[in-house]
Amino acid sequence: MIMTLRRSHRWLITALTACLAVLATVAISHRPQVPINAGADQLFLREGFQSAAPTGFRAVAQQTATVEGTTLTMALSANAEQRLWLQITPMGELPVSDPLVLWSPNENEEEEDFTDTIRIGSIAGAGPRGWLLPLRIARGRALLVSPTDKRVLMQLTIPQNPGQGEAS
Amino acid sequence: MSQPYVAVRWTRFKLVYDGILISLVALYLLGFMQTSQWIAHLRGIELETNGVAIRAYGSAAYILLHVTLAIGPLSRIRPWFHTLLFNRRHMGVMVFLLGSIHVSGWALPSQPWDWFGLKTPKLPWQFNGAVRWYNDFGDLDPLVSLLTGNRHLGDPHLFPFELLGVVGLAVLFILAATSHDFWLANLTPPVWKAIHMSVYIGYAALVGHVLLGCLQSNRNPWLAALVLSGAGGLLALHLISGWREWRTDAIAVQPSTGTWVDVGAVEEIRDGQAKVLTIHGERVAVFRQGEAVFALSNVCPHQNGPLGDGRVVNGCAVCPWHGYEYALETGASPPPYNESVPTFPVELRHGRVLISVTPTPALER
Repeated sequence: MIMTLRRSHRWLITALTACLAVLATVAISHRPQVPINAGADQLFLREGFQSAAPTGFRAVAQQTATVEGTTLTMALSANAEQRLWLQITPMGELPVSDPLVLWSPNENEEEEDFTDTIRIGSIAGAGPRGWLLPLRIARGRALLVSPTDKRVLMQLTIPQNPGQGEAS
Repeated sequence: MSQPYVAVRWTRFKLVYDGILISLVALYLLGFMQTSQWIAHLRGIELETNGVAIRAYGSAAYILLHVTLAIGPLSRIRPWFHTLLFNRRHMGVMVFLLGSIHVSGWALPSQPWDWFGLKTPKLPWQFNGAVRWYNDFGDLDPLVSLLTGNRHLGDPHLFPFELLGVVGLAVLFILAATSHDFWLANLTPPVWKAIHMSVYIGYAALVGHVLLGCLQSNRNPWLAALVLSGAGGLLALHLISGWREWRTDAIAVQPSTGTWVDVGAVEEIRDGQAKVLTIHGERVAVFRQGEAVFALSNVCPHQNGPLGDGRVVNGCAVCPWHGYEYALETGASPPPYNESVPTFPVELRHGRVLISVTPTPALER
């Protein structure tokens, strides 16, 4: 019995050595050349992350705050058809791994449980990120949150009649 | 065992062993996290502390797994390592615990507190594990996201390496859960050994987890060198010790006179130690005590340890792995224990040791 186990062990280790050598070669040789930083914005654009407002939008509200040591600007613009454009511009990499952008219909600045919110997107990467908000969003607040910590990192109240705001 | 059942027979040696193990793991974790703080401070960047803790626990589990798997072949090459092998199972359980914390984090579950409308208390050094921290971006449950979110199975760069981690942790869980002697006795050593051989499948999955995971995003050549040399060194150790064992087995002794095998001169066997030879595919340990010579099966029934690598103490052969004892004359453990091993009749003729190829079966007690 012990000889059988020993033989199985020898074959198993030999097979493992061969398989792991192949896996290591493939894994090391296929490592991506693209650095994961702000320079990868083209990749984000390709995946549908917008970084600039479409034409014809005017700024209606703006908020700047420092979150975890990174300064962020959250800006809201509107066009003549009352469509809203939300843009978040970080000044550096935000050291939060799960930042989500939500819309809350609640205009009061209470502690959030995020149950009534709609997810707008995430701010992956270090560049500016923007979203054309759904038509139903005409009031309430835009929130930047960390769902894991159930924490609101930053918020911007959507003004009354946003289409009447100042021109950009 | 015929002694009263005790879950773990703690001895001073085991306490010291575990104390050193826990201290070294704690030192590593603290060192990893503190060094990360210093590097972040020097570079003027904000430290993502959850990610650092996840990497600290993950790397601790990975390194300790290598150490645990290296002890077996090392103790075959250098008997000094039997000291580490004695309590190796505690190292294996520690690997599983570190891996679990890497995955699930270090925090109290929220449910019991939520039921009473209370806020969940925070633990010291609390952090979120890899499943929540990297899979809680959207509407899906983090576990569902982990298991279904990535289907790039054909791409080495985008491969869902997390699934390999799941396989590795599942294997570690099975091994940790069945590591106790209770399972060894009830499953029988052959079945238990076969189950525990799956550690190599778990190891392969975890090496894949690292190669297709952190080595894809971190291009530091030193990290790649460390991972490759760790795996290469461990596999080389196993291949070398396996080859040595195979060489020993290949030199099978043939009966010289009928059913008797000439083992050699008495002086060739050191007093209090054994000479191991293979007869009909099984190893026999020929022990010498003074002028007397005894032959026992080389396989300890506890965990199939090599009895012939042990020494003679108080007329008993002591297994180097876990200290099980067998009387040289009968092959039986001294009371109150009831394990026993087969023995072989021995004759001394003109200063030469001859043993019969027909064993005397182990005593039934």
